[in-house]
Amino acid sequence: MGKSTNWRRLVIFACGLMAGANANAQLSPNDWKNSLQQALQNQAPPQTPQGQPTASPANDILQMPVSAGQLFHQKSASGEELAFVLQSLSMSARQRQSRDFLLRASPVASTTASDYVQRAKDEALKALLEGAMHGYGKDGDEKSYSDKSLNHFLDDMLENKAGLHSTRVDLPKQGESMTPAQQERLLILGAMVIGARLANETLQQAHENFRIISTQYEVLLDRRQKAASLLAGVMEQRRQAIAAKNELEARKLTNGLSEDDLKFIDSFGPKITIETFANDVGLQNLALSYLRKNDPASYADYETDQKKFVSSSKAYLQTVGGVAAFGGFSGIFVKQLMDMVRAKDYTGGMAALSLIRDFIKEAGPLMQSSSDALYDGLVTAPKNAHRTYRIEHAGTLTDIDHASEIFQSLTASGDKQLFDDALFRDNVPGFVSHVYQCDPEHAGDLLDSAVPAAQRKQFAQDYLNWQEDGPFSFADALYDETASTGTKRLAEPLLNRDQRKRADSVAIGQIQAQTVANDASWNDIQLMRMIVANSEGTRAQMQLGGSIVRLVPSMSTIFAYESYTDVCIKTASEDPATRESDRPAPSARPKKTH
Amino acid sequence: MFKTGIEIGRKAVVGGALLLAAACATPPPAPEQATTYKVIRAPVRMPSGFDLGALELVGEARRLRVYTQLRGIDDPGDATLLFPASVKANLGLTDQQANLLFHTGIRQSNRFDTFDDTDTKVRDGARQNYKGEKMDIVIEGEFLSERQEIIDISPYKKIHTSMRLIATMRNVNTGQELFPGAVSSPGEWGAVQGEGTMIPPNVAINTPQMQQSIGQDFQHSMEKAINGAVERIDELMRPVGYITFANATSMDMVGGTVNGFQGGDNVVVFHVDYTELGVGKDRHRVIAHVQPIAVAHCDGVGTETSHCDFTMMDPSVPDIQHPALEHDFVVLSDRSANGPRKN
Repeated sequence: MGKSTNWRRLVIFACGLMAGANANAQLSPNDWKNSLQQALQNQAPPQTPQGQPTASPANDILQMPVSAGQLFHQKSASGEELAFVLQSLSMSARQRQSRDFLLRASPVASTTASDYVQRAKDEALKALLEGAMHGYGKDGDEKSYSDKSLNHFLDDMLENKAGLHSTRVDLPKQGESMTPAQQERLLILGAMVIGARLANETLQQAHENFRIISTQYEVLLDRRQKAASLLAGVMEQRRQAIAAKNELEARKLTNGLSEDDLKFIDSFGPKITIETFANDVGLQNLALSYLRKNDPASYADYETDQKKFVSSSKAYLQTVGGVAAFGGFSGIFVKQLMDMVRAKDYTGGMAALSLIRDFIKEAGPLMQSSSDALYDGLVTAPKNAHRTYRIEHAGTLTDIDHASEIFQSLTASGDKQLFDDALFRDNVPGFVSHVYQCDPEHAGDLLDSAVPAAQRKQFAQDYLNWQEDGPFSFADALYDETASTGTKRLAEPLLNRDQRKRADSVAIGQIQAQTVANDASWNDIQLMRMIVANSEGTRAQMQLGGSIVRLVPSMSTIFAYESYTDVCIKTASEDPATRESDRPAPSARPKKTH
Repeated sequence: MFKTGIEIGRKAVVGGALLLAAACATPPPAPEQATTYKVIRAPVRMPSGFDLGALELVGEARRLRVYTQLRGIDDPGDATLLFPASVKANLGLTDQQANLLFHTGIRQSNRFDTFDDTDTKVRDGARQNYKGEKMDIVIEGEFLSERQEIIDISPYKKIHTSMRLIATMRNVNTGQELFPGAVSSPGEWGAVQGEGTMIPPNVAINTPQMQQSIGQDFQHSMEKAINGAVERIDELMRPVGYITFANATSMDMVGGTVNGFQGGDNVVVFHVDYTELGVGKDRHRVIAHVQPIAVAHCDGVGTETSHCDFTMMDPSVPDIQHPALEHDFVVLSDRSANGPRKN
C-alpha cells in the first residue's frame, strides 16, 4: 500500500517535472510538446559545423547567426542586425503559423526553484513582469489578425533598409554569458521592439495619408455633386417644360436618360434638388452616367480622381491592416511571455525586463489599434457616422446609421427572412454568389465572419482534406481557387447551391446554415458590398419584399461602391492566373468578428 | 568513481524522464479512433411535431410505402398567369413534370418507398394499392392561387409570381389525416432582389424571350412551393428507429440511411406505453405514455441498422447500466432534423 502510494507520487512528481511546472502551474499542450523537445535537445545536442547557423528540430524556422552573441557585447543592435528574427516571423506568417512563432522559436525550458533565495527572486520578477504587462495579453484576450497582412507588412518593413539601419535597441550586457536559448529569446524581444517602433512610424505616416485620402474624398464628392447639380438643373428645366406642356423640349433635355432612369429620378419626388442627390448613391451614379454622355471631359476628370481615391484608400487599408496585424501578433506575443512567467520559465528574465518594458511601451498603442478603430471613416464607418443607409418600407423613408440597425429593421418588418433565404439559392445566384462573381475574397470573408474559426477548420479538414496547422479562411481558399486554373471544388457547391436543407454535402449545408444564422453580425463594409454586388445597374439598392435598402453617399459608401466597381472591372478584364500580383489588399478585409 | 556514479545516475534519470515523457505525451488520435462522449444526466426533451403513428410500422422493420399524387397545375380557376399554356409545354411544365418534381422531392428524404403514377399523369383519387403493394401513406397535392403580377420596384418593373401548394397526407391503415387541415406551402418568386423577370422599358412582356423568362419564374415558384411542402412532410414523418441493444454507453437500432438517418445524427431514445380503447371490433391500441430516456450520437449509421453512443440520460432512468430496452424507439432530434439532410 505504502510502496504503491510512493510509486504513484514519484510518477506524478516526474510527470510534473516533465511539464516544467510546480503544482500551481497551468501548461498548455504546446508547453508539454516543448518540454519534451527541450528534453530531447538536452539529451542529444545538435552537432553543427563551426560558423554555420544553429538550428534545432524544434527551432527550424529561426536561423540564429553565429555572431548573434556578439550583439550583447556591443550592448545594442540595429534593425538590420535583428532582421533575421523579423524574416523568420514573416516566414511563419506566410505559413500561417505566426501564432506559434515564439513557442516554436524559443521553446519553454523547464526550471525549478532550487532554494528560498531563488524562489524569492522568481516571485519578485514575476510581480515585476506582470506589472509591466498589466492590461495586455490577458488570458483569452488574443487579438484577431490576418497572417497574410502580417506577412505583407513585415516584408515591407524588411524592405525599409534605411529604417532598419537607423532603428536601434539596447541589449543587456549580461546576455553575453547566457545560454544560446536565452540569448535567442532576448534577441526576439529586441527584434519585436524594433518592429514595434517601425510599425508606429508607419502608423503615423498612415494617419498623414488618411488626411490626404480625406481630401481626395472631398474632391471626389465635390465632383459627384457637380454632376448631380448638372442633372438637377436639367430635371428642373424638364419639370418646367412639362408644366408648360412642351413635351418635345422635355424629351430633348433628358436625352441620354432612359425611361427607367427618369422614373427612378421621379421616385424621389416631384421637385428634385441637389440635396436629393446627396442622399442616394444610386442617384449620384445616375448623374455621373448623365455626365459621361453629355460632358465627357468632366467625366474623365472624375475618373482620374476616382482612381486616385480608390488606389490611395486601398494602400492605406493595406498599411493599417498590416499595423493592426502586427498589433494583434504583439498581443499574442505578450500573452506567451505571460505564459512563460506563469510556467516559471524566465531564467534570465531580469535581464529581459528592460526589453520587455521597451516592448510594452512601443507595442501598447499598436495593440490598441488592432481594433477596428483604424478603419474608421473608410471601412467600418466611425461610430458617430450618421445616415449610411436609407430604408424604404411601406412608403416611409428611414435613415439608418449602421448595418446592425438595418438587420433590426428588416427583422421588425418581417423581411429579414427573405434576406436569409436569398443568401444561397439554387438555379439562380444567391447574394453571396453575386459578391463572389467580382470579389471571391470578400465573399469568403462574409463566411469567415459568420462561421467560428473552429468550425471552419473542422470543415476544411473534413471536406477539403486540409492538413495545415493554422486557421482556415474561406477568403483565402476562394481567392486561391479562383486564381488557379484547377477545378472549383469549393465555390460551386458552397456558393452556387442552397444546401441548407437538402445537401449533397452535409458539411457544406452546415457552413451555409451557420452563415445565415450569424449574418446579422456583418458590419457596414460587408453589407454595403453585398448591396452593391446585388444591385441592378448602378443603383445601389437592395429590394427585400416590401423593404428597399439604399446607400447614402459617405466616405464609406463611396469607397464601397467605387472599390467594388474597380475590382469588378479587373476581374472581368484579367486572366485569373495572372491576378496574384494585383491582389487587393488582404488587410482591407475587416476582421472584427473573426 | 563517485563522479561516474553521479553521471550514471544522471543518465538514468534523463533516460527515465524521456520514457516518462513518452508515456505522458498523448499521441494524436488515429482517424479510426472513436470519440468518447461523457454521458450527462439531465432531463431529455422529447422532439415534437412528428407522427407517433408511424411507430407501428417501424416495428415491421421496413420503410413506409408512400404514394404521391399531384392533382394538376394547369390553370386552376383562380389562376392569373402572364404566359400561355404553350410556353408551359415548351418549358416542360406539364402535369407530369410537376408530379415528378413533387414525387422526387419526397423521395429525396431517403426514408420512404415512393410510388407514383407518372406514366398515366395526374389523376383524381390517389391509390391505396399500386402494382400489388399496399400503401401506408398517401400524399396528395394541389396547386392553388397561381398568380403573376407586375410590380414596381422603382425604377424597374418586374414579375412577381406566387402560388400555393396544398398537400394532404393520409394514413391508409387508419384513414387518419396526418396534417390537421392540410399543409399550405407558399411558393413565391420575385419578392427579393435577383429574383423575377425584369421588364426593361419599351419591351412588351409578350415577346417570346420574355414569355420564356416569365415561364421560368413560374417554375421557380412551383419548386419553392414543393420544397416547402416536402420540408413539412419530412418534419412530420421524421426518421424513427427501433432499439435492438443498449448498455450504459451505447445502443444499436434498426434504422439507418434507408430510413432517413445519416452519420453524425443526434437521436432521442424514448419508451412508449400503450393502452386499449373502444369495445368489440372497434377496440384498438393507442399510445398512453411517452417517456424520453436518453440522447445518443450516431456515428455508425449503416443502411438499415445503426450504432450510437449515449451523450445524455434522463434522471428518471433507474438503471443506467440498462437505460433502454429492446423495443424502445428512437427518433431524430430536433437539432438534427432542422440541419442539412443528405440527398
